[in-house]
Amino acid sequence: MNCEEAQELLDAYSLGALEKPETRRVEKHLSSCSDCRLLHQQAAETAALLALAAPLRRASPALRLRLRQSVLPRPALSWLPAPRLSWATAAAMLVVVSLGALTWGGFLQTQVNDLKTDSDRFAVLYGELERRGETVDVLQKALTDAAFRQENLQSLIQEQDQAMRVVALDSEGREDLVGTVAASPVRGSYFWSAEANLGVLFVVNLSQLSEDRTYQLWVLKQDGTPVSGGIFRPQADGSARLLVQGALGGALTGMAITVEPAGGSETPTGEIVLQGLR
Amino acid sequence: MNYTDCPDEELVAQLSRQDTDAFEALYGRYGNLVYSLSLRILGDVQAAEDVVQDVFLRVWRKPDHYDTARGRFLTWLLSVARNRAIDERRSRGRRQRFEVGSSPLEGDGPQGDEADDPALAALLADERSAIRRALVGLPPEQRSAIELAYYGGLTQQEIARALGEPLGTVKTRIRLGMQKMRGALTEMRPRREGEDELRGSSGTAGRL
Repeated sequence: MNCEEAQELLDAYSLGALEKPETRRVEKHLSSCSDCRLLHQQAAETAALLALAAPLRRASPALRLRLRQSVLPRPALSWLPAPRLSWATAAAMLVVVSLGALTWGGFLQTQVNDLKTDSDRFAVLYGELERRGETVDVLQKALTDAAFRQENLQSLIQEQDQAMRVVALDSEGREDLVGTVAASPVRGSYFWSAEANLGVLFVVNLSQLSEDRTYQLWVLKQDGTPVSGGIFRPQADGSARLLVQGALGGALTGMAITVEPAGGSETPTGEIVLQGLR
Repeated sequence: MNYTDCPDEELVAQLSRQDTDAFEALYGRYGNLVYSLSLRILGDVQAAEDVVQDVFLRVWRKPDHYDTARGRFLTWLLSVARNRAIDERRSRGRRQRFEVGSSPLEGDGPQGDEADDPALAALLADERSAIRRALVGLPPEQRSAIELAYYGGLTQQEIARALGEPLGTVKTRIRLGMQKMRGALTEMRPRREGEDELRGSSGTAGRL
């Protein structure tokens, strides 16, 4: 192929549009002709710039992340056994080489390269999956916690509303309670509303209890039998609030608060820490 | 080392020292370009991303495959990416037919994602608009022959068969079309000589 023929084909060659035999002939000429090499460089530049006519798209940020992970230094894969050659293997390889099967080496190299590429890819994929999995778990937990807290808050607010209503609007009666121990700072008040069929107990300055203990409110009926008004634990500041369904106000002859095992008792068993004044 | 203003060729030289920052700088400059090209050729996001990953990892592992004596890095990178994408296209058995002019190339206004992304739009803006103008300025039959070869990976014979035209006609169209493109692009060059932007190719690109 002379220069004229080659130059006729340079554009098509740069576009990769020649058939294989033509491609080889052009390449052969280029390898020996610096003038045509220069012209080819210009043609190749023009062809490469055609890439810039493609509509610009943003690649996903995940792709950048994957690439970054692939190039960051990683500890060597220790699970790969160190290659060891036995004499037999070495002899066998010698035979293979002596057979002139150098392509075998190329084949092996390709296999090794493929394996390497695959293991790189898996490492990246695995890392990403793991990270995503963790993120999902954390989010899921946060979501559950948030939902739980919201539900809790909502019911607390509802209770608070009911309590306020009894105290502020419907209250028919009030029973004050004082500590049983001398100079005890514990004080409480019980409000009730027959209309709302609800009673509310407020207590302050309660001592904290161990996990297996609880405070329990008792209301003494006309005949003197104690009826449980519910169990409660104080907040961090020693205050407590208890809603009592059924009011119990009109019928009561006395009130007391005792310390009971966690979960409460059927009849009072523990010491009385607070009792009604009546 | 300031990676933002560093010319491409120096960044590539850094790669042989395992400089991951240099690698990220190169990806920051040209990742979207390589992706856009692959997507145009393959028409499939996943396949295009795979090509981008392959191409950049190849640059990372074998930076010495780029020879500074043979032109700018960008040109080399784009041809590596184009060839890789075409290989992928061929290995898919050409199930998808390449649509000539399937991209809205009817002017040199913004296309794709650049309409709402100034940083993307600034990427090699002058060169992109020049090449687009040059392509649009070609007679349609020359343009489609070039596009079928470059984006579709077809040889001249395959193009002739696909269009039902004589092989000689296709050869002429490609030669004339490419000559005109070269003319249009060199016309643009004198204006920009001394700006150092075309050769260095890092100034505007670094903004991405």
